[in-house]
This record gives sequence, C-alpha cells and structure tokens, in this order.
Amino acid sequence: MIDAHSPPRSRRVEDWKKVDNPLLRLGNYLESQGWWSAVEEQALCTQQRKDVMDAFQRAERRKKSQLGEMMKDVWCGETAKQREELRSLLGKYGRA
Amino acid sequence: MRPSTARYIPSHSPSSLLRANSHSPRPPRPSTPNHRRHVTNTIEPAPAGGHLPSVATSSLLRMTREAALRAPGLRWKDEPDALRDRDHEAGEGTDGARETRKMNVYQAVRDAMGIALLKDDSALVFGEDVAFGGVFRCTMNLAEEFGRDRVFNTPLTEQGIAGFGIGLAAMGHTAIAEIQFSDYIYPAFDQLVSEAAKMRYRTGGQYDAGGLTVRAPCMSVGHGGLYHSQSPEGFFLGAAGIKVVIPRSPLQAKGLLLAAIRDPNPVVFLEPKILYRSAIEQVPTSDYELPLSRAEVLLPGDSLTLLSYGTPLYHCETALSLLRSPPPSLAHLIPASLRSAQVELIDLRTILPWDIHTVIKSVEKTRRLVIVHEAGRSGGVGSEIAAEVQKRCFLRLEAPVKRVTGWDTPVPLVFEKFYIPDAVRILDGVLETLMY
Repeated sequence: MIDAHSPPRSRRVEDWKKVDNPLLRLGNYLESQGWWSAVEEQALCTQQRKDVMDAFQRAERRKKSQLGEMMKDVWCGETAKQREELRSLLGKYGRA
Repeated sequence: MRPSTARYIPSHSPSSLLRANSHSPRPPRPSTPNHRRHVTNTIEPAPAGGHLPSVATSSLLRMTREAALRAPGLRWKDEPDALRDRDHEAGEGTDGARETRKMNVYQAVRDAMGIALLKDDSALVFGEDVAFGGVFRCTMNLAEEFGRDRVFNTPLTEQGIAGFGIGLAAMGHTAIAEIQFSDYIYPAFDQLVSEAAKMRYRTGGQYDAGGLTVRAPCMSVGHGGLYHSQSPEGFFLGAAGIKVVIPRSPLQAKGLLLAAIRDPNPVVFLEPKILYRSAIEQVPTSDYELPLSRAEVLLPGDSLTLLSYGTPLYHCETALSLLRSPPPSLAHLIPASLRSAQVELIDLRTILPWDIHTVIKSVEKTRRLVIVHEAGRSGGVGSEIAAEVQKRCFLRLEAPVKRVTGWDTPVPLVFEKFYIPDAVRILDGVLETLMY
C-alpha cells in the first residue's frame, strides 16, 4: 500500500550527530563534573524503556472507544450535527 | 561508548505515521475479452460471475492497450498541429503505433512530469523531499535525469513553496510545486488565494500565475488521521482564478496533469494518495492530455445520477454492484424493482470550474442526483453543485439532491472507516433517492 519513504540521511547529518549533538555534549559535561555516569545512564534507559513498553501493553489491552467518540470534542458546548444520521445508519445496516 | 540518546526520541516523520497496513492481496483479475473495436465511451462490463469490485479489480480502470487508447477526450500532444487539436477517434492517425505501459498513479504522475520537464525548458519541479524521489515516489529519478537545478528541494515552508512558485510563474517559468500532503496546504492558502488566483485580475491581464501547478496527495489512506487524510478542494471554491483537478486513475492522472501544467491558469492538482499504488492500468507512453473542466460519464444510466471524484468513485462502483446483486445481509433492504435501476456514474475530474453542462444534461435525463465526496458536508463541493442543480433542474427533479459525504468532524483515526462515505452509505443514499 502506501510506502512513504524518507530521504536517506546524509554524511553531514551523521557526522553532526556524532560530534556536535548538544545532547551528547551536555552528557559529557555532566559526566566530567561527576554528576552523572554511564552506568546510571544505562539503568535509566532500561527503566524508561520498560515503562514505555508497559504503558504500550496496557494501552493495547484497552477496548476500543464507543463510536460516539468520533463526534465528540468537535466544539465545546456544541454537538456535531450528524450524530442522529450516523446512529440511524448503524441501526439500519448494523455494522460492527 | 555512550549509547546515543537519539534512539529514544520518537520519530515524527511522515514515514513513521504512514507505516503501511497490510493491504489485502490483489485477487487474479478475471479476463474480460473485449470484442468491440469501435469507438465507445463506456468501460468494459464487469465479469458475469459477479464480484465485489475493489480498486485493484475495478472495471473503471482501462486494463488493456486498446481500452487505454480509446479513453474519451484523449488528445495526443506530439503530433503536428493539424492532427493534434481534434478529439481522438480510435484507429485514426498514428494510433496503431501507440504504446501503452502498465503504470500506477505515482508512475503516471512521474511520467507526466518527465514529459513536461523534457519538452519545456522553463519547467521546474520543487517541494519538500522531491529530489530523492518524494515520499510517494512521484519524482523518482527526475533530479538525476534533469539536474538538481531543475528538480530540487525547498525548505520546510508551504507558504514559501507557493510564493516561490507564483514568482516563478509570474516571470514566465512553468512551476510545478509539490505540497507533501494536501493537509499542509493551508499555509500556502493565502499565497494561492490572494496572489495566484488574483494576479491576472488585479493586473488586468498584464501578469499572471498561470504557469503554476501545485500538486498534493489528498484523501484518506486508512491510517492517516486528522492530518494525512484531508480533501481541501472545497476551501478553494471561493478562489475564482484557480483551477482544482482530481484524477481517479493513472491514465487520468497523466493526461490531466499534463493539461494542468500547460493550462494558462494556476492549478491545484490533488492526487488521491490511496490510489498511488492500488490503481493500476495501461497508460499511453506518449505525450497526451485530457480536457480540464469536462466531467466523464463512466457508466451510462437513466434512473439516477451518481456524481463523485477521486477515491469514492470506487466505493460508488461497489455500491452499484451491491444494488445489482445484494448479499444476503442487505437483500431485505433493497426492493427487487430497484435492483435493475441503471445508475449513471460520473467522474467530475475538474472541481473548479466544474462541468455544469455534463451534470445538468445527466440530471435532466435521470431526475435524481446523489453527490459523493470524502470532504465534510458543510461548505463542500456537494453543496455548491446541489445548489446549482436545484436552481437549473428544480422542476425536473423527483427527489432532493442527496449528498453522501464525510461528517462535519476532523477525519478520525481509529474510526476512519465510519467517516468515509463507503459503499454501504452510498448505497443507502442511492436507495433513499430512488425511493423518494
């Protein structure tokens, strides 16, 4: 189906990521001051990855919302016009 | 070695948002022997065994060379003037030597741009990420073939892309701009409406942005959500001076795009993105155009006019086959007398200015009209057409003009298929109108 393919990263971008990346530079500075270490970094990454995967699995287990959600939150204080129409169509054709 | 923190930053690129759902495999196409060699405006009939047409097996697509060469309104653009400016008739001229090739929509679009770049030295193609081939491969190898000073990337600015294109066009270039998704066209809207559409009018014809064509993928794709599924054509209806064109298939896309590029008005060319890979047909490899502002009657009929454009045309086709031979779950809703109704299916093709003549002629005959589009109901193309038709055909109409459209909400993600006017909803609209 749709295969949106992205541009290949250029050498310049890759080199910049290795050398000039501000995140890496800040990390190096923190390490040099003794406020952070590679071990702590690794532990934090592992913990965060686990948190994300747990949240992901919890989310996947949740049931789909009601179809009516599709027409909520369009406006504040107003309802989307076509709720009734959708409801009658579903009643008539009974799609899951 | 420090692990890179970049690993944990979620990607926001369109490619991650458009990771493909698996598309159902294309069933083998039943053979439809075409014994007719004379000129015909109709498509080959569906196989007698009956099936539920999807895009891959749609009979709206011209799957043979002969059918492709007989596409109505097709004009070859590589013949001397005398032969060129007539409506095409089968078997005349150099038809016998014409080649066609199986192409999908992105290949046909690419082919059209290649021809435009080849024949028009002032033509340029530009947009975000077009140089490497484009996120939908519409510009594959164009930069290699024509050079990076003719096919090039722009910065991330739709307003800039449109403004730059308008400037190029005003100075006599052929500017073929790409907006990566039609959902992103709004920053360019001011440039298109305030400048491109009005330039000819405000200068009394001394300047114009006619050389500008803005291409953008549009419509739903199954998982696009709010910002990769929109059909913004309705917003442009108020911008007189601009044209809006939406093709339904590869053959249409190539011919209409070449016509749009060469049309002396700025054109917004919206390509239904779900059709990029799923619509495949035989496309003539030569230079040809299809007429703008002319709708095409795809299936003749006399009971009702079904008018649409882009992706929903295939849902219309499915709806008509459901009407003809409903499955058991729907059979009780469709009276037997209606199952033989001949519905006239029309592809609007050019949204602005739209082909009033063809639509009115059809509604005068059938007296009933159903308009289908993915864009929301309010202020959409359907409302404009319905108003015009009721004005001109009021006493002939036997039912109110019915619009089957997306709802007046943003395009939802999880519930997209309940938003899109699908075959069942279209069938419901057709039945309601037939039984009025």
